[in-house]
Amino acid sequence: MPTISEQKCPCCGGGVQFDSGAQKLKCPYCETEFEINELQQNVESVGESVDWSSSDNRWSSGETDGMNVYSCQSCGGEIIADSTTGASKCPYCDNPVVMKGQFSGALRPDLVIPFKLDKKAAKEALKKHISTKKFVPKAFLDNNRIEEIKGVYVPHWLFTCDAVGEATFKATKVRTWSDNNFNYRETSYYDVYRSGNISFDNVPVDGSTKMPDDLMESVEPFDLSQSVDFNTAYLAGYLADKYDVTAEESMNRANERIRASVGDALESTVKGYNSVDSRNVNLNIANGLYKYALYPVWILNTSWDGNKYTFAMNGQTGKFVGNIPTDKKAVVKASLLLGAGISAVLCGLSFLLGWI
Amino acid sequence: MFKKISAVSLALVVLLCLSLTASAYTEQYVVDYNNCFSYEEIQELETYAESVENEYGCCVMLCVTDEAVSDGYAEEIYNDYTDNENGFVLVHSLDDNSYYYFVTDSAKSTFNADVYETLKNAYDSNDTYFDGAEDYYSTCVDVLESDGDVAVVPETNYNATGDGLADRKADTVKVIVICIAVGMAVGFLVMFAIASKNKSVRMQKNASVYTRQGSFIVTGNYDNFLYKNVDKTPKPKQNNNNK
Repeated sequence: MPTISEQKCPCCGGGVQFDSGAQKLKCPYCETEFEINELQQNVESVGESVDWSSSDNRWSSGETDGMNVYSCQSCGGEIIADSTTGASKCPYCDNPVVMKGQFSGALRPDLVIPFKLDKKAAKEALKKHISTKKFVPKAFLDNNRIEEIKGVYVPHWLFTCDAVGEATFKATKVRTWSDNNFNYRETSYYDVYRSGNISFDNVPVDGSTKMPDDLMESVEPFDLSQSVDFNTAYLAGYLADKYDVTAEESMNRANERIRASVGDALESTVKGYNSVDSRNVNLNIANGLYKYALYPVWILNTSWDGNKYTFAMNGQTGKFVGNIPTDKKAVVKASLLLGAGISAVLCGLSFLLGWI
Repeated sequence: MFKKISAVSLALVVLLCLSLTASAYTEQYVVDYNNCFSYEEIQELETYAESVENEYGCCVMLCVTDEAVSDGYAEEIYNDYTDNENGFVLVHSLDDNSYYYFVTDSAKSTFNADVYETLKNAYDSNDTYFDGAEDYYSTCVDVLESDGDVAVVPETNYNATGDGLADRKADTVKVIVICIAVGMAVGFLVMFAIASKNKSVRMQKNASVYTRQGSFIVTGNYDNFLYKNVDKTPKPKQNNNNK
C-alpha cells in the first residue's frame, strides 16, 4: 500500500518545509530551523495500511489506474495523486508530504540539487523576463496573471561516458587570380577524416513526460557540484515526480546530443579550408554510466487570451525561460517605420551622391 | 521611441519627395547645379523657355555649373534633357568663369559663332544670374524671330522632356525603388530578429557544456585531395568612351 512520510516539527508538531535560503528544514509555524540530518531521527514514517476496501464502491474498477491514494498524516484527508507524484501538499491542511515508496529501493534517486531560489525570486524573474522583451502585447503585460507557481523536483537521467567518434567532411579551398583578360577561381575539393576521444559527464535527459523536454533543456545547465545525496527531507514543501521515462528510453536523446558535440569537436580541428560540410559522424560509447537525479525547477503558468503560457526557472542558477506572445501588428508597424527611415536615409544619400 | 522614429522618417520622406519633385520640375530648360537661381526664378525661366520652344520649335537651354567643364559637356547636358533636334545650350562654368555651348545641326545656321557671342554677352553683362538669364532668353527670341531658318516644329513632333530626361527619371525611380526595398528588407529583418528573442524555449543542440575538461584527443586524421574545378570569367571591359 502507498505510504507517505511527513517531516514534523518536534517543537509544535507542524509540518516542516525545506527552506532554500537557509538550506535547512524550517517550521513555518514556529519558525524553528533544523539541520537535515538532525530531523531524520524524528521522521515519522507512516507505514500503516489503509483499508480502502472497507468503503464500498468508493472506486470503481480501473478508476484508480495510474493513481495512488494516500492518507494525510496530519489531518487524515485523502490525497489522490498520479502514480509518478513523489512529493506534494495535502489539499486540506496544506502540509507538505512525501510519497516514500516513489523514492525507495531501485527508484531512489542518486542525487538531488536542493532549491537555492525561492518562490519570490521566481516571481521577480518572470516580471524581469517579460519586461525585457519587445513587442509583447500590452494586454498581455496588463492582464496576464500567474495562475500557478510551483517548485518541482524534476527527475533527470544523467549520462556519463567516454565517446569515440569519427567523422568525414567535405571541404573546399578556393584560390582566385587574374590575368589581363580573365578572372580565375579554382575550387579544390577534399575528403577530410577525423577521429577522436572525448568524455562527457552527467549529460541530463528529462525523465518525466509531464515536463516538456524543450523547457527542461532550456533551463540547463545545473551545477552538479552543489548536488547532495538524495534525502526526502529536501522534497518537503515542493512537488516531486518520480521518473516515468526509463534510462533506456532516455539514452537516445543523450546519444543525439553527444553525437552532435563529437561532430562539432572534430569539425573544429578541420582548419585551413574555405568551407567545411559535415557528412557523417559515427559514434561509439564506452564506459557508459547513468545516474538518477532530481533537479530543482520553478514552473510558472500564466494565461492570457485563452492561452496558457508556461515559464520555467532553474531553481539553482535562476536561469529563466519561456515563450512570450508577440504582437505581430506591432512588429510589422515597427518594421515599416524602421524600413521607411532607412529608405529615406538611403534616398537622401543617393540624392547627395547624385544618383537621383 | 517608435513615435520619434516614425516622425523623423516621415519628415525625411516628405522632404525627399518635395526636393525630388522640385528638382524634377526645374531641370528641363534651366539646369542649375550651383543654386544660382531661386525656385521661383527657375519656374519663371522654365515657363518662358517652354513658351519659346512651343512657339519656335527650338529648345533653348541654360546650364550653370561649378564643375570644370570638358569638351562634349554641353552636348551631354543637352541630350540628357531633350531630344529636340533644334536647339541650343549655353553652359556657364563657375569653376573658371568660362562659357561653352552646343548647337544641334539643324540650328547651326541660326546659332552661329556670332550669335553665341551675342548670347554670351547678353547673359554675362548683368549683375545677377536671373537678369542675365532673362536677357539670354529675350536675345534668343530676337535671334529666332529674325531668322526664318529655324523650322517651327509642331508641339506634337517632339517631346519636351526628351528621352534623356525620361531615362534620368526612370533611373531615379529605379534607385528610389531599390532604396525602399533595401530599407524595408533591413527593417523587417531587424525587427523580426528582435521579435524572435521572445522565444527562449528550444532543445539544446549538443552536450558541449558537459564535456570533461581536457578529454578531447584527436586519434586519427587525413585530408585527401579529390579534384578541382577552375572557373574562368572574362574581365569586364573598361569603358574608354568619356564623353
